[in-house]
Amino acid sequence: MAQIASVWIEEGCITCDACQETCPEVFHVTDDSCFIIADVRSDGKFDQNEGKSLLKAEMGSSLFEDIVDAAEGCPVDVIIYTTAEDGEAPSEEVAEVAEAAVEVVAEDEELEAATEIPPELLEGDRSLMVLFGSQSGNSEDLAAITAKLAAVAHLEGQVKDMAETSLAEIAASKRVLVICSTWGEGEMPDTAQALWDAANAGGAPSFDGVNFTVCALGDTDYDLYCEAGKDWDRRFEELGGTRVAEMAECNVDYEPFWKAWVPGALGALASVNSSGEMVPGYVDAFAELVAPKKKASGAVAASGVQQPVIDVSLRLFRYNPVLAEKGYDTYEVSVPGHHTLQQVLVMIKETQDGSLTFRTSAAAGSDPLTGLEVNGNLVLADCVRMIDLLNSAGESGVVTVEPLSGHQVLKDLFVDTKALEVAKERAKPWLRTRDRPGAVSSQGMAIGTMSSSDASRLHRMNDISSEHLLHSMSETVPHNRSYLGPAVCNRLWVRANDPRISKDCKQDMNALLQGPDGVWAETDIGVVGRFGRIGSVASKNLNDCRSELLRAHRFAGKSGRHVKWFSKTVKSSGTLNETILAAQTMGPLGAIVNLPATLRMALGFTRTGGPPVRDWQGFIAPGKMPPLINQSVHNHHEVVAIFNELDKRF
Amino acid sequence: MKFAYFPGCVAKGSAREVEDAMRSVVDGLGITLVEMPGAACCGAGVMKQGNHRLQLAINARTFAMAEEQGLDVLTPCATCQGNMYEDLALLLDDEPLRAEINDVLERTTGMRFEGNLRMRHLLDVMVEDIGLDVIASKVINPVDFPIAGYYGSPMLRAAANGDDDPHNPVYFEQLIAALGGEAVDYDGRTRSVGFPGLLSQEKTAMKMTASVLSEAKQEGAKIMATACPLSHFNLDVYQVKAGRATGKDTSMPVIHLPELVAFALGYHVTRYAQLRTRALVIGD
Repeated sequence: MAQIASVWIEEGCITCDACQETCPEVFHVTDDSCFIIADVRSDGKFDQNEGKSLLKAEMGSSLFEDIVDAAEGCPVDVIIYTTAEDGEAPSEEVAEVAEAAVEVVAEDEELEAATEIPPELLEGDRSLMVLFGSQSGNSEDLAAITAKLAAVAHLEGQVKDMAETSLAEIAASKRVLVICSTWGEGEMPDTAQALWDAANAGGAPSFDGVNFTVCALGDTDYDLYCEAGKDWDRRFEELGGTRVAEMAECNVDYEPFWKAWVPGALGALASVNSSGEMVPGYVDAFAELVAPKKKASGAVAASGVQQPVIDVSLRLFRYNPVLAEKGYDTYEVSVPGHHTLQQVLVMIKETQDGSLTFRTSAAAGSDPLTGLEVNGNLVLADCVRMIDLLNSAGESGVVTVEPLSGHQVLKDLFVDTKALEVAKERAKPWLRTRDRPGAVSSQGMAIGTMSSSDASRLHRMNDISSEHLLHSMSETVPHNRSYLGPAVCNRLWVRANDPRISKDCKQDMNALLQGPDGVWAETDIGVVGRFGRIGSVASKNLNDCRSELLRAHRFAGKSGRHVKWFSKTVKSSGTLNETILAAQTMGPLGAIVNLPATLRMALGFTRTGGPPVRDWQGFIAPGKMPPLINQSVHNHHEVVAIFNELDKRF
Repeated sequence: MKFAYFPGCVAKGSAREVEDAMRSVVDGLGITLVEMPGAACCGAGVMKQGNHRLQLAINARTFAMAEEQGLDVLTPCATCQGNMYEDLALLLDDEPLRAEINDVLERTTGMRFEGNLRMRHLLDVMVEDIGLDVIASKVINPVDFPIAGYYGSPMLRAAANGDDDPHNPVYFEQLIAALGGEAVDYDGRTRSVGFPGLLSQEKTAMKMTASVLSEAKQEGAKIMATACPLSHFNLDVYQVKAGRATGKDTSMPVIHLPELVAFALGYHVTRYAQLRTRALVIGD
């Protein structure tokens, strides 16, 4: 069983509380830093655990997932932990190496930063206005974290809500960092509307002397992506402001985009001196202070988890499009267990075979297109660790890596994403909003019209980290090229459930889902559900979608008849009658066309053979289902009672 | 070793050979099966498309019956296993849902389901409970030719087939080796043949079926054995049609997992002789 051996906090904690919210049993955030709680530690102390004291064994295992989640969710990656497999304590040697690597890097960076940034730049007014416009709270949360992170760059961050900020206050600021979400079709969040109207009205003050940058939050499913943020970026410039860093455009899963952008943005704003003038040459130095140290060094993986070196036999699919040749190459590699598959592929490419082709991402977990099939499972190469792949390889110890199915292979492990994109294109537009009158709170504040329960439900339904992987989870896709695929069907179903959607848009989407290339084209939804959380979420969504379509279309079509008559025969006797099901689903003509198969089925597969007459009665009197056809189960009336209680349609 | 027996509708209906073979297997391996004559269809993942609560309540009734006897449920059908395992996990995981279903169950049947049982597939029981060495010691007629094992994708989900890896399983191959056979390694062994869509998406299902059969054949399999009687429907009954629709070579005897074990344990010798003649002498 996996177990956390020790967890500690590196320097640089911004006291954002995220870890405490994720795992309050272990983390407690004080005013200065996060502490490891005494109750879980073997030394019983309450501090950052710089001495790397071991966790109590039962805590390390029972809270494993929570601690990992907290470490991965830390915006500045200062939570470091070591693991012990099967209850063994971590190798001291490994822990020391990790410690040394981090310490050396940290010391080097501090030294470098200290020598580069002149002290006078850090004097005087170091205020930073972090101005947010938020509808659902994401921008507000991000603003709070950004303001805390600003302290690392020697800035004094102050969070301001657009609803409570005047243009005059902005005009008087030397540094402004705007974080603004987009609502509906390119609209401002309700809380930002008044300030935006004022900024566009006559008499708006000049922003001359205001150094700014913008982080725009949006959703690529909308035609106008990040529009509100773009509007602010343009307007600040029009009013005379100085853009010191390019705007960030963040999609729904905004954190990776923000993480990539914020060091440069804060670095640029920190380079503005107390007179409001940009001092060139120090942006990178400030940015390095803000950026997570471990990532900058590349010495350890994202969460700092160290694993011993393992020997792996890596069997890679190869395809040469010029010669139309395919096959497998096997490489014996020795790598640290915590390395990702992507890191190992890069290593092979750099040291063994420069022609090996695959998709890479800039940072761990940052690209949902790095999907690969490994020993039958679907994984993101930039996330999955080699130790986990080796554990799933069984006794053979061979890790077979293949391109994702359902996509055209261009070369080796590199697939074309066109099929999914074309399917997406066929299903657009995703969302045409209905007219929203809006609502006003009892305090007179304009608020959105989506209830929090609706928003939560939609988020749960759409909790799909990689549509690329989801598309490949279907085994129907490779055999039916016109099928939209589970990823697109899932997205359509989520959008059709969005209460902001217009009536005609919802009808269009339901028509696509009910159509020949929609959700019924999937021959086996259950297969999708095999693949972890993504598959499980999508499988449930697709089943719910089918239920709703069956209700709306009154079990129309072959698929509808299939479900209806399956259930009817079960109600009739307690067991399925395949003969009646086939006859009713395919219809008389279908049964005749399918005669050889139908005969074999009716006669009991010709082997031991069931009583043929019983099955033939299903054809002679379909729909009536007298007890003669299927012997009823004992207490059959109970089955009927359950049906009558829960669904009288059958 | 005692289990509540859930054969599945197909084994009781159009694939009676599964029932015949099961009787032999449990006799040979010393398993006691307790019938549940009141157990209804598991819904096969189809019924839940119309109404998932309905399927949950029907399966909860079956679980309650097994629970009354203090037994785990054993099935030879991968579809029943996958479907009932998933429903059992959902009911155990979601307490309000379980309470709601129990409420319906009590009002309609007077039964209650508490969750004190496991869903087991025959393959998992043979490997984990009985043991491959024990099975190997009981083999009388080794199935000494290349055999393609087909799992049936519904039970290939985490923990549904015991501790076997759902994405890279080995139990079937290990069992074939224990029975004296040569397990054929082919990609299609874990893939779906599209049975749920057979009647409504036949064209696609035929392509999926042909793909599995032809891959097994290309890798040298002489016969295929399946742990899923519903998939057997595609692989056997629709075999000719799948081959004709795709132009692939799909001709191959396909038997059920319980038949394979029963043959190796010395039962149904006439049928086994016919199968060997068909597979090893007549061939294509």
